[in-house]
Amino acid sequence: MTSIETIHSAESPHVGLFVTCLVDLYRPSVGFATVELLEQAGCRVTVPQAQTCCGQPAFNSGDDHHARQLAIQVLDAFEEFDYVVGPSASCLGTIRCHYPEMFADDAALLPRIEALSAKSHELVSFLVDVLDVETVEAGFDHRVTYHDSCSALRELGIKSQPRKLLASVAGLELDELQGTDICCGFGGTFCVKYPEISGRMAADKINAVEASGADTLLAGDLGCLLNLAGKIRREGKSTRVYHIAEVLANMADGKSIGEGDD
Amino acid sequence: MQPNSRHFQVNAESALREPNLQSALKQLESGFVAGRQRCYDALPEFEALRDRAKEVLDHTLDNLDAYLLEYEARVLESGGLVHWASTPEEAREIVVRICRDAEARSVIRGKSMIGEEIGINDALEANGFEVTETDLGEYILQLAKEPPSHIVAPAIHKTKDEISDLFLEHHRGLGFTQRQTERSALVNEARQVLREKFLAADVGMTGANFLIAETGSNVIVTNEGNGDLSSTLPRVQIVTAAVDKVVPTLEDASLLLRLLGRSATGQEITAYTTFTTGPRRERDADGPGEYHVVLIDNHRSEMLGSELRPMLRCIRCGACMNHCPVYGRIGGHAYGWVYPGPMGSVLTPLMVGLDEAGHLPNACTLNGRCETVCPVKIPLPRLLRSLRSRQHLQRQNSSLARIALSLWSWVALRPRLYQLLTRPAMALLARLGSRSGGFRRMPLASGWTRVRDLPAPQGSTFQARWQQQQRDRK
Amino acid sequence: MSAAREQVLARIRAALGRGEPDPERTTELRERIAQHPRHIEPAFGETPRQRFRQKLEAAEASFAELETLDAVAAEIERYLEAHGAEKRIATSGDDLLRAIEWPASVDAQPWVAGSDHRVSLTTAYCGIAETGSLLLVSGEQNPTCLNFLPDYHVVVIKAEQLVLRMEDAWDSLRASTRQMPRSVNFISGPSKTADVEQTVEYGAHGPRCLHVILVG
Repeated sequence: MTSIETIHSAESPHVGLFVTCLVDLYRPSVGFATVELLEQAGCRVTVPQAQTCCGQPAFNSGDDHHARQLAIQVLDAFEEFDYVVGPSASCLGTIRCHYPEMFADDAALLPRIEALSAKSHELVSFLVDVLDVETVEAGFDHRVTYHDSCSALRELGIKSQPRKLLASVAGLELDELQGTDICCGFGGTFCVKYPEISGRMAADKINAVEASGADTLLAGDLGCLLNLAGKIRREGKSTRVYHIAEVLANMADGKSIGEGDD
Repeated sequence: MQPNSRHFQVNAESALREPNLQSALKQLESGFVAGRQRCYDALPEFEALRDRAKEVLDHTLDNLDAYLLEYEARVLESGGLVHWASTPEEAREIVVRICRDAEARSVIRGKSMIGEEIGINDALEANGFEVTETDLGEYILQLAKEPPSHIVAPAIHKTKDEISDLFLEHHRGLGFTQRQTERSALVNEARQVLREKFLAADVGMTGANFLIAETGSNVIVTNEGNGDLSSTLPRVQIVTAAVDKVVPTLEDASLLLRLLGRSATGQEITAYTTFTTGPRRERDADGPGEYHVVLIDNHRSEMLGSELRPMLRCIRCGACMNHCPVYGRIGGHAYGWVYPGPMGSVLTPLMVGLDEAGHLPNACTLNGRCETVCPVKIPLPRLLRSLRSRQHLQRQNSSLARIALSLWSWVALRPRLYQLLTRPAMALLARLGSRSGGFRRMPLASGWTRVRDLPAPQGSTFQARWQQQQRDRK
Repeated sequence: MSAAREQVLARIRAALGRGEPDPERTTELRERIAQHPRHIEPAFGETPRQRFRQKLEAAEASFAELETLDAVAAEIERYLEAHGAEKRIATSGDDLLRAIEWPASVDAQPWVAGSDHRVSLTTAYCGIAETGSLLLVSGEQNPTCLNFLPDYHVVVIKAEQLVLRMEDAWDSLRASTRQMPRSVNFISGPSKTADVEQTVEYGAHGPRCLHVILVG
């Protein structure tokens, strides 16, 4: 067992932080929480400046050309690290599962892409599965519920890992959501192309959140979180919304997502 | 049926406002979904069965021509006839000709999606034949003049009240003058009305869940027994089946049957599983004197030669739509053609054209739940994504979305420019939104803000803060 | 042969990137058919007899176990009385059923075309333990309509006719007949439908009630 206080060693793994464009633009605190958790777990963290978007929006829209170009940009920026880690199953799922698909016919690049994919991990699963982290030093006196993102559940097989770490947060009580394997309606461009369907899915999800009895909603993907926080605001509900990394890093003391000064 | 997939958005929005449909759809999770899960939990071999089923079907598709020829030879040996059709038109002509040659008057149908696909009922009626659907759900829809909204439970969107009204309206003339309100009474009334149709019919039409190359048999799976009456009582039987229904052996069919009922309705096996081979034998006590199979391509050979080949493994269980969060909100009619949900979003564009059905591959969050429950492991999200690529290449997707995404990609490929543009933009957004925490309206983001607020960002970007911090440390 | 047949086959071959099946491939595929390999056969813990009964009862079939055939007539009369059904029965022509000595109160006659009996009595080719299914096959003495037209379907099956799985039935059929019978019906409960508001109702088109009598 390795606790989170593991001391940095000379051979501490060198992690390239893929912060994701949504965290970069919308919620920098998640990026800092990610760095904090990685450093606590004994990693050396570098943030390459030549990073933007993983290419998923292009890929999911059938724009394979741009998707590949963006993948190559990620490859160039990150292949030097021991690991690529980021606070999003959606983006890291793209790198891990879909990059090899995109380059299946490119014999020259495929080996490099596959090597990159193999060392790319979503943050929480990296902490638990790769670094064997079992506990975190954090407190959060709230009843929370956790939304599994579809890419976490089905592309990366992440389900127990966040729950394991949340169980070690002092004061935190986890109320499970009904229908936790059902999509929240974000779906990238889906949510703006089909807002009425997406809105109904989000409404059903926040009703489930309310029914869970929790006062705080956590998830590991900012796409889902912005969608749900936006719907919670629109419906006038009071549930607070944070990225799980903020709670695990004991940094969930600022404004929640979509929370104003009033 | 005439496709109406072009109007998906409007169809979907009106479906969201239909309370009866919404309450029917809410039952999916506690019904079919929970039923499948119970079967899954009770069968440790489930995943191994899925893997094997995929292998068997891939092997079959890889030798489809040869297995079809074996199948055809066995049907002929058993005294049946095999007709081939490239298109729905050809299939309709063949069926009409068989009915005409048999001097038939009335035709009864067991539920088959390929029958819907080729529009057989309209063709038969236009040629003067009386056609009666015998699956209760299909019969209800025939009376209501509506298409199915689910491939396994076609009338899932109909309430008991609507059915009571329909039956009273259509059965009054047959002596059923009381409006029945109990489910059992409705089922019983349909049983009596349809029993007369069964006994009087000249031709019985069924589909096929599988065709067996080893024996020349067709397999049908029902709970009502209507398919069996359709293939036993009339003097002529016509089986319409797509070319991808063939499997090599009885054992291969047995493998797939273990997955079909469990995935479809949460049943280990349906009440009736029937293997029918040829017409009645010389000494048989009953059965039809003529047995015809119409083998239909309708774009399946095209799929076979493309990256969409895995779609031909589909055994029509409906698990993908039962588990689809989009289908679960809008039901089947919104998709605008015969096949709804994830499998329909792949098939429909191929059968009616990507220009007509362009919405379908996009009306999906790629959440992947369908793929995890597909009994034959069809990578539905990947296939939908590849249809999106076709649209992109053919410039069939909306130009606004194209421009916005291309612009994003163009900027994202230039990290310095990206940082230069995003820093002030996010800072401005944060300043505007910091007091309230979000926006109710946002220019260029109306799709987002139509149904939810846009949360305000925190301020300067992570990259900006991080670089500042690194500089401060030095 | 029709033009459509050649076109469909040609398109399929083009899609597969190959020409007509060469003798080698044909032989290989015929070999696979001849060997008809079995696949994964799920294990179950119960005895075949327990399993057969449990599964049928779970599907709302009723079940009786008798030690000898002598008791069949009385059991059927009891069953029909309990259901208030008329004691007029159309039977299949199997020797097993012809041997039954009926009391005067029961009118059991071999089926003839056009009969409108509400009760049918048949045997089964075999019983499948895994799924709780009766396998009935058509033939000179076995009209298929007896399995579907009446309201009550009573099936007498001997314990030695139980097999574990569908695959065992295939082997048995292959050994006993040259060709598949015209109709091979696996019956796993009475007729039902859930087409009205996703709620199960029995007796849609086929028998409302299925009664299985296991003898021996």
